[in-house]
Amino acid sequence: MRTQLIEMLPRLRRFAGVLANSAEERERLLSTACDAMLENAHRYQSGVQFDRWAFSEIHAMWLKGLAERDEPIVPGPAEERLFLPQAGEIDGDREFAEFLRSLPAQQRVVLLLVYGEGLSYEDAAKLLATPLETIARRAARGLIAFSAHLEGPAAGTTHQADVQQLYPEQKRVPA
Amino acid sequence: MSELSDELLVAYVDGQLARDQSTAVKGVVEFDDVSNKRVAGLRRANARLEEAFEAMLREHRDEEDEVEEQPAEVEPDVAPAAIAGQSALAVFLSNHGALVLAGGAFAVLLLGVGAGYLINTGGTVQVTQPVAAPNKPQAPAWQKEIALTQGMFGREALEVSLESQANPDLVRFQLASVIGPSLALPDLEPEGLRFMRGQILRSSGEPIAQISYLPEQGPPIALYAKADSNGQTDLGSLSQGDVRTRAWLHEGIAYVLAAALSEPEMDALAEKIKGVIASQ
Repeated sequence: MRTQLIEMLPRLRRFAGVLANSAEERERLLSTACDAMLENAHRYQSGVQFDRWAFSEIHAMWLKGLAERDEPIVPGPAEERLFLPQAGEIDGDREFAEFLRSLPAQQRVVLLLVYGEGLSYEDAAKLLATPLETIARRAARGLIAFSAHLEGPAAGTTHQADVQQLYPEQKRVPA
Repeated sequence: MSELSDELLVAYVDGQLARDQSTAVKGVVEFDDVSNKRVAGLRRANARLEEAFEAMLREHRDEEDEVEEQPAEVEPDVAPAAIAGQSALAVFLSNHGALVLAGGAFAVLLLGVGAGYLINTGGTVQVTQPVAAPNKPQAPAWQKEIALTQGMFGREALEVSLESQANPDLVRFQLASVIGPSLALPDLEPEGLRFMRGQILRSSGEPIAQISYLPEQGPPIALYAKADSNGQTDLGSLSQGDVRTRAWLHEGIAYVLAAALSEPEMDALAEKIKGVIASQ
């Protein structure tokens, strides 16, 4: 399992990155999740695709972290550097980073699974333990918003408003 | 406004519809300019998202490649408290830093004779380093690999081997031709340690001699030796699980004693071996 985790680490880091709001949070999440995976390796059932199991473990760890927070979630965009290549920025990277950081993590992770990992909606739904309809809706909203974002600044402004309207939970501060 | 919902169009673009659904949508899109343009825009966005996520992945892969190329000297201190007491296979750290043992220990992992551990730190992958002994210098990376390897080195590996070598002088000659002419192969029979074999392993691309001994009972004890290139006199020591190390430098050869012994036993045995080597 250790070797599998090492081989998968770039993908795991990318996955943790779309859930986190900062590089530090990403690394903390990834470290904690990998630790848990090794400690609970017996939970892995042969036959299950390892990468999906690992993603689901990280996602579960992220949810657990949210539930255990003592302080309210402070709304705000994720760090741009999470999604922006540090070396050799190419055309379009920044607009993608700006777009992605403006989304709530729940939607970023769906976009990653569907467009980055190539999962079907159904597989993404299973992995995230989320209803299929929710996944389909998040993928649709995300792609539509990104399409609008690519159309130009005006569309981008609209997208920001759309995101806040469609995802009020991002602004919600738990009691 | 398209008659088809955005959600349906996205599912169509994403290839998530069943064949008959997809055929139906395709039929509408072909004859509806609004839908057609919408689908074209969504396809561009789809392709761009895939590219962007792939770029993110390349970024992370590049980070790790860069880290693996870093010399061992850049390794940071570990946080011993963070790993002390944890199970050997579950040591992860979250402190910042660069690669520790990634190249060498990962190779050891691949060979199936090592026991490296993942660490994730500040954008890099690490293989954990064992706990350094308190108040002692940080041990070099190759020494930690030795401790990791020793942990996987069972008694059976020697007992069933056909390569046990009966002539220590010949073994020393062969090892010295690789490690260096001053390499010593100490006779530890007076200490109750029977010489079993010598072999050459590799750590971070450099040869390391492993000289193995068997006590009357218990796991094997090994003395590792490699040519020392940097003249570091105090090589520190460490413990990894049950395995402890003692290291020293003698005539340009760095020696590491690795064994599952107590701290006092390690100290005593290391001193005796130093004496034997010095007298040869």
